[in-house]
Amino acid sequence: MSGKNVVEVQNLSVKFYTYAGVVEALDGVNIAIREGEILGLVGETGCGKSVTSLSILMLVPPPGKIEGGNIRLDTRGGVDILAMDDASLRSIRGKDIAMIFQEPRAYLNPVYDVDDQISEIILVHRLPEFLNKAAQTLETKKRRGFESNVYRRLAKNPGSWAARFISRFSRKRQFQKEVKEEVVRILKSVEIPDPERVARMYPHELSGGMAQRAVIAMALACNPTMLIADEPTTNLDVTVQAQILNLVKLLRDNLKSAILYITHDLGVVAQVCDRVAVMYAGNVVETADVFELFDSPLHPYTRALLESIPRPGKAFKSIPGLVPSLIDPISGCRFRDRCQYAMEICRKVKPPFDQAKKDHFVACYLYGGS
Amino acid sequence: MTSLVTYIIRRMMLLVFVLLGVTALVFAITMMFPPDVRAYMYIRNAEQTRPGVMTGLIEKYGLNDPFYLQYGRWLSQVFEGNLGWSHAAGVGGMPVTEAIRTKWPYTFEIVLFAAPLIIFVGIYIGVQAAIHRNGVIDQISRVISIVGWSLPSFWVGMLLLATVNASFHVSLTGPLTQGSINYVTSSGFVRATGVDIFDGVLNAAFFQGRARDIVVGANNTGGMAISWISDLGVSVDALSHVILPVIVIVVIDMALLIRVMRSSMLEALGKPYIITAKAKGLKKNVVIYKHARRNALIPVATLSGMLVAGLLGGLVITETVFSMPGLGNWAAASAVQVDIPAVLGYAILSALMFVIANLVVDILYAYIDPRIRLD
Amino acid sequence: MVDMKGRWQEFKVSMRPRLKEYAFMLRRMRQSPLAMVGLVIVLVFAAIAVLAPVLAPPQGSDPFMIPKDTSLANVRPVEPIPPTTNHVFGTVELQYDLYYGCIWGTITAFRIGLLVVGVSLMIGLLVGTLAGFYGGLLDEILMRFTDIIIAFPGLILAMAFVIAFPQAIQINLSFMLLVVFVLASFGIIAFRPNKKLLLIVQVLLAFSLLSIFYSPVSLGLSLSKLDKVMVAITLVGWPGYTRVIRGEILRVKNEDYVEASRASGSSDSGIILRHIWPNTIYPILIVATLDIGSIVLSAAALSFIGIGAPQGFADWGQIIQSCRNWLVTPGQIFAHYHTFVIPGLFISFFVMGWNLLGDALRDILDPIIRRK
Repeated sequence: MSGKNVVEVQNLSVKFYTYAGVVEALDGVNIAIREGEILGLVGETGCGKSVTSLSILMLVPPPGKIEGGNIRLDTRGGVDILAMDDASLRSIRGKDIAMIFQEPRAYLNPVYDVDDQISEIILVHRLPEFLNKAAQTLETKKRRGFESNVYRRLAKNPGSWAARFISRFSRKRQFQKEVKEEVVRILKSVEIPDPERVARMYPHELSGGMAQRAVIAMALACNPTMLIADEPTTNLDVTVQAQILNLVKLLRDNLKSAILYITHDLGVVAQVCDRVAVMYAGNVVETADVFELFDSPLHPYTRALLESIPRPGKAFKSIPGLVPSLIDPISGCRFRDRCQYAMEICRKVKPPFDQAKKDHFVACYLYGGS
Repeated sequence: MTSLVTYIIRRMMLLVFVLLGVTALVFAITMMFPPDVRAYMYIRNAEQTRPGVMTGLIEKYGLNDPFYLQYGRWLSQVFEGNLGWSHAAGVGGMPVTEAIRTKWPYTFEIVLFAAPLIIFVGIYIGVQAAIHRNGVIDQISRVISIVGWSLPSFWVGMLLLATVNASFHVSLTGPLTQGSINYVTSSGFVRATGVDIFDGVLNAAFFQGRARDIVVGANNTGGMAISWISDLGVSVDALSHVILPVIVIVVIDMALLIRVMRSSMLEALGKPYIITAKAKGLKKNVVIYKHARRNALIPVATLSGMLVAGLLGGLVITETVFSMPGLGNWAAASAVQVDIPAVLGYAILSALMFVIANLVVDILYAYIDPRIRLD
Repeated sequence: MVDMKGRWQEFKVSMRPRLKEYAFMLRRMRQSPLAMVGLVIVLVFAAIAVLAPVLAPPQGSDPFMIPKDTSLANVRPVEPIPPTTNHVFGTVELQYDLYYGCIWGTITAFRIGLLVVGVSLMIGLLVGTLAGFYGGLLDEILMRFTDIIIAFPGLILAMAFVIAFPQAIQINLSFMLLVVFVLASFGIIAFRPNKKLLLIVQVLLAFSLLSIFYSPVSLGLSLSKLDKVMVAITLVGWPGYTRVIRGEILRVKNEDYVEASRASGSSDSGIILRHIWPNTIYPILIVATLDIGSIVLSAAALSFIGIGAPQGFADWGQIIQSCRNWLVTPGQIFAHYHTFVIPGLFISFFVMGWNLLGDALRDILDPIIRRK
């Protein structure tokens, strides 16, 4: 859990141009995901968690537009993702940063089996590796000849149409077998039983937990530095959820990957996250270590959130008021109408996101920053 | 694989059931006619149409008996291969089976050219319209869809005939020009397939060596010497006559296919797995064609199957407008001339086409969409 | 004393969300230019239909029989004449006035479209609801029957029907009774009255079944050729609606609000009327609107073949059909183009208007359906 950043989101601003008006979904979001750490992104439905995660890979669907800010990919020398061209973006997606989503069976293509879908991503990002590997296998078996030479040649030029052709149309060739073995290996690594059989199954034949594992396998297929998980366990049974959460922790430990874990469930946060970022109405309001956050929450919203967790013996407490509309949003701090500590300045100017304690950032005038 | 076989068998049983239902229904309707008209259902040859024979037939086939007896009797007739006598089928009439045999190639010819155009071009345009939503192709295809689907087919046919007549001073009704008709009916021309276009080419390629008579046209419209050039000329001529009906059908049916393909594609492009595909770093084309289109084709496959079945069942209006001697024209004539065996025969044929097409579509469906695996 | 004011307030409040939906729909419609075009076209035709007696005053007892110009008929009895001052659109074969035919043909078109769609919608709705809601054996039977009708080549059935049914038919009364009571017994099963009524119905059913073999009573009914065409198209048209509504009902049947309604003791018919139908009719409306156009096309096609309105009747298809002979040789086409171009334009625009409207409805109702 070193302090090195993998991805830094700075001042991200996203707007949706809808029939009803312009929705300011994200208004200057700041998040940093560190190596080997699970960062939880918490917030109510509609606060902008998913939009933030989609923005990292430039996957925000129309009518949404990324309007400002930058997203630095520190493993590639701090280059700004938002300024990348199409080809570079595609080389990042699935390879440097991978993403998994909420309902696994909906997010898998129903007409292709698991093997097809995982091989697909391998063939996009790791083609030369497997071509060489296949050539190697053939050579060591003393079957050096036409086929292995072809593989070597294609490996040198993976973008050529010949390479693409062979990856798409040959089924029984050596390197396809290598890829298939890799798929089975990956499936095994996410604890899927009987991986050969599962590889041949279609998404609708899988249970929720199995499908989510397969999706995780697909995301990990190219050894990404960061994994974004957008509420992956929300639709699953609690027992299955526990298994998946354990798997996620294992991934952090074994692969040292950075994980951005989005959820609205504080219980999950407590179980799995190392650090937490709390979002409200399009802003990040607080970021801290998970223990720190639960022990001493600073932002009034975080406090109210933690207090509203139902506990036996305690009176049921909820936050009065409603989340403000993001169309033509209110000035100043967006939580001000529901905050018991609201001051004059809260109505006028939005509080900056500053450090309040060690490694603990808040956007609130209670902690300075006027 | 055995599940596939059982599935087909089950669908075959459905086919039989539907056929029985359809024929029973039409039979019931025809029961409203007096017996002497209905007697045509049992006639096998021209001999029996003579006046004196008819009363004998009425007695013999019990045309005054209750419905179910008659229906049963008729069914057994059908199994023997006798579908009755169609007096509307041509000069002097012919057995229904022969009518079907001789007329089917003309319908098939048109469908052969129309169906692939409708399906493949329609799919392409629909997909492009969906990808470039609100772009130029989309707007144009929407206009074509709406307009194409609104036009009466016979009107378009008439317009085309009129335009061609006016521009080239040639009448494109019927399957061939008169000269060509004389040519193909001569003894030297081998009718291999019944489809003029193919026969011309086949004759040019394979049947040159035979001794053939030289044809002189009726009314002295000029003769055509036998050669492979004139054989091919027949093909070209037939082709030119087939173009217009094909255009009419393509314009109207493609409109529907484009619309369905477009909306199906738009729906597929909005699905969650498209986001996954993009997040995997796949190229845009791969996402569109490999992921979205394959899913979008599923409902389109059903529609295409139904379309082709409908076409094969007979292009009644189009053939009537262009005077093509196909099944549709025969159906229309038999309806106007109260030719009951023809109507019955055509009904059977149509229902048959429909159910077979259904079966093919279902199997195709099960092949494309793994979620539907022959429950 | 009933609190009328209070009840009215309640009603207004309860209707508010629905009115908001309608306002939203209208706004969406106004935003789409094609939708507006469709609406305008349909309204123009409706205006023509309503104003027909003014635009083309009827001469003679039956306004739907196109008047012949007898003075012209003496000179040129048969050949159609292009537009002149007397006849704005010209005349068709036997000197029928084309303008009159087109104007009154609009009424015929509306009549055909609305009646056929209306009746087939009702039949299809009934059959589809029963099949979808009750499922099981009833569903199987009804859907097999529907499949047979669908497999039927519609045009052929229409033709067979038109030629088979004599001008004045003797309807076998017991057959009619059978049909009525089959439908009624299904309906009664749906609405679950007491057992005695059910028994009576079943006895009558058995009686009518038996009486089919003896045909004691007949009833005379006279149908014009066009009416027969309409009946025929209706008979083949209703299965389309059946499938749609059944699919929708299957989708909605297991929703929570249906469960809740059942748990609170609603009868089947109550559930259908209050919960199921309001949530499932939108696709049917779309199909119905599009169908109006295609039914008018089918009717025109049948007239073109020769089965349909009789000679001289104000029906667009019939007008075109009557002039087919005059378009054979190249020279004649220019002289007589008006006979098929003008009525054809009427048909095309009429159908196009309804198609645009149906398409617009589909675009508008889709987000609403999705929102639900």
